[in-house]
Amino acid sequence: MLNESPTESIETIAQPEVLRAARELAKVLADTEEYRAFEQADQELRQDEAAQRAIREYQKRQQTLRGMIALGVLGDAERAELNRLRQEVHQQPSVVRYSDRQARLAGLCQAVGDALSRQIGMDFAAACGSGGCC
Amino acid sequence: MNRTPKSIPSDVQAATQSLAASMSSAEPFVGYWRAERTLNEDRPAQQLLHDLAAAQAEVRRRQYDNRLSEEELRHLRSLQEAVQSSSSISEHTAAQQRVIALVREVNQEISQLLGIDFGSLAKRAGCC
Repeated sequence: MLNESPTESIETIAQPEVLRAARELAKVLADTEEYRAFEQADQELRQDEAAQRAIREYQKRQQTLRGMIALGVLGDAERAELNRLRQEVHQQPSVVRYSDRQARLAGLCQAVGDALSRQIGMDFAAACGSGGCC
Repeated sequence: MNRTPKSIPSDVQAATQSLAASMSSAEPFVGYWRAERTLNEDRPAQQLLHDLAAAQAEVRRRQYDNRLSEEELRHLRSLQEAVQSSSSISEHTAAQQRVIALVREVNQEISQLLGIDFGSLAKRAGCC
């Protein structure tokens, strides 16, 4: 996770100063086109009744079939039903918009994360330990 | 989910650089690099880590073949104890934990203000 050591500073910066710089970064990120577009899509999705209904139906069915999914014994009919419900979710225009804008925001966050990682000599996102695929 | 923007807006870039400079100058990072240097210069500790990794790999292999002996387990335990009692290794581990704690606090600060998990979004796909 760690790369080569940067030059050691003689004077150290106190933690509140670091957190202040973090808040400053959050502030400018919140002002980007990517973030504003995402926030708008998020709001639209929350207010879209049809999309919310499709999401609820998919999640409800997925919940009831969770045991079978975990055991790997999902039948063809149940699998087809789940796929149909998932497709219904992904066909909702507000869901498509949300996914697209989230991807654009993720692109910006990744670019910022990469820049941070290069400068601190450590994989910032990996060190956060949040989310992840594993 | 990787639509990287062509370039980071200049104000975001400046704020990113400022944050990175602050983090690099914060005590956890300074302490970490110091501990890293000390560990790199500690030849017996390096050898110990190398021996431990080799012993762990051997134990895994033996477990897989169902041929693990008591003696091999004792050898592994004695190496683990030696690693735990090495001051340069334990200081390095502690310094690494302090650095990670700072990174997570920074992420929490950014995430709280944005209402998203910044670290998750910043993570590149395909870690497994």
